Amino acid sequence: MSNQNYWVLFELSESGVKRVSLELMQKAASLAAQTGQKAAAIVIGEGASDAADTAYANGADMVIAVETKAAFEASSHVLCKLIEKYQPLALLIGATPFGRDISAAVAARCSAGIAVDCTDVKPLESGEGLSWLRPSYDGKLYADVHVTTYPQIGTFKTGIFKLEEGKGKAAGELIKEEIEVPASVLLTRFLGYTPDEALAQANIEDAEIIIAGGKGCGSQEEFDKLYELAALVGGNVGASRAAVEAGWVEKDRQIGITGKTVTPKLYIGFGISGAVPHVNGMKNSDVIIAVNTDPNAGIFKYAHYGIVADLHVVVPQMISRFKALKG
Amino acid sequence: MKILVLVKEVPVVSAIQIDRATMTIDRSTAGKMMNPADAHAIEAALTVAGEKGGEVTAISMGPDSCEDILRNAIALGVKDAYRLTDDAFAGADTLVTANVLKAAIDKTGPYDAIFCGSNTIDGVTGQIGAKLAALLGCGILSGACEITCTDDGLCIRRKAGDGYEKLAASFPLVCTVTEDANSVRNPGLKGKSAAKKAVIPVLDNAQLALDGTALTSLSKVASLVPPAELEKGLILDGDGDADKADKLVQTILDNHLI
Repeated sequence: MSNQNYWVLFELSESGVKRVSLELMQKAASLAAQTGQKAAAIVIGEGASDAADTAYANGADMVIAVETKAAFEASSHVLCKLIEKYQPLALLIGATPFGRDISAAVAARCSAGIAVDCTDVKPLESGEGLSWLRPSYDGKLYADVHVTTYPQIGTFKTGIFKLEEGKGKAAGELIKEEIEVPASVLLTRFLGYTPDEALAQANIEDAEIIIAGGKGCGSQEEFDKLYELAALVGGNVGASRAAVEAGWVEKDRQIGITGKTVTPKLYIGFGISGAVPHVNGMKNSDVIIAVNTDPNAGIFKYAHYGIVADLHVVVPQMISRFKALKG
Repeated sequence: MKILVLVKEVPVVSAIQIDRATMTIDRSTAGKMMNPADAHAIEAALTVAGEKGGEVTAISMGPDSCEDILRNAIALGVKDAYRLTDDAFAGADTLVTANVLKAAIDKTGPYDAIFCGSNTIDGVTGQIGAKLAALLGCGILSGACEITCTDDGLCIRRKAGDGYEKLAASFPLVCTVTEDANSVRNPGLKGKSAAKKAVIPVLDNAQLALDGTALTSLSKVASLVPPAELEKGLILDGDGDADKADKLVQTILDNHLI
């Protein structure tokens, strides 16, 4: 195998490089260090070189920057050309809407195998290739996916790897490539991004504290009390699939395999049994607290602290305690 | 206008029984159904066909049993359907699947718009739409939660983080549809009768003529492993539920968790 180095495709937004790209940069840096390879940030778009410092600050050894029109097909065209020229070992991409599109397009154009929505990646013991781990059967099992082509491509949701401080490196090599994008490849037009209040409120991926409710809430009224508790502790509200299906809360707040992956500093689950798909979306939280009436609920297996109690008593009690603390 | 919708038969994933101790997977209790997002893709296809004038064809790749979901599609208003099956298609990864679908599109098309669900509940890769678009060389509007017709194509909105992205493409295009995009209609009497009578041709590799390279999966599941169990934590006891809640609040404060 002649393919070398771990690449991360940086996704740029108006506010800079997306968090998931930095999480993957740190992961790539650690994989590269383990195996004597380099970790490279691939930045394609308007003002590509500006992201170089951010890349080094998150462990990149080198940066390949290509100035081009910010469009999905332009990026896809450029990325294929870069892959052809540099022949990387692996390519890590964030599982955002943009990342899903470009990972699929590049895999198809370069005839590369891909593992989607992975939860981990590590070099195989044989030294050839990588082991990509991804949930299967709603997360009841994990599939160890092996890819037979290079570059091996994998996508990861935001929050799978944690951003850590102190992973920075001195500024390394910055390669500026010029690649022309023929107008004929530009078929999809990006017409803009509009922030949305409701979606921003439901952005539990960035919350440091999550108060989550499940079937045990029993009613809309009980579930709604979680918002008050969340506001008191400076957190946001998440939910299990059961609560979403009961209609108490929008799907954008669903935690789990078919919802969002969250890694807050504190997760408190009320009336959540701990079904495997849900647990897969929150088990990497720093501290997990479970409140459930069933002492055998699966969630207690993952909880750092738990109480076997009725949330209908516990939630109002906690609200009154935190209110009292606030004076 | 010719419109295509791709549908997939999936197992009711939540009903699959898995014994993690013995790693046995029992599918016998799990029924089969149309992938949930695909029903919304059919609805989108029929809506666009109604607005622009045209007919909708459905294609599914899979065994005999997936004729059921193609008949369901016809009951909803789809005009005709094809089923793709061949021993050589078994175990296809996403690229092989996209290759097979493209061959079927070349044979039965061309189509102005191709709709499919944005994700499936069994494979959960969400790769097919964008791969097909790349192979066909047409635009891709993925993850649509809202679809509108323009003069020469479609415009969609999709959720991305704290907001919505808006994208547009001209025909021909591929559009992948989420469950937020529309409400699925009920089949009418005419549709039900058409579904009963429909003859659904089968296309195998004798007709699609894909070579060995196009049918070679580039990724494989080497093994299935159980998720790691975490260490058991501390259960706080107390004198009644309110007291337990107080102890929990104290623990949160003592450990500076907020």
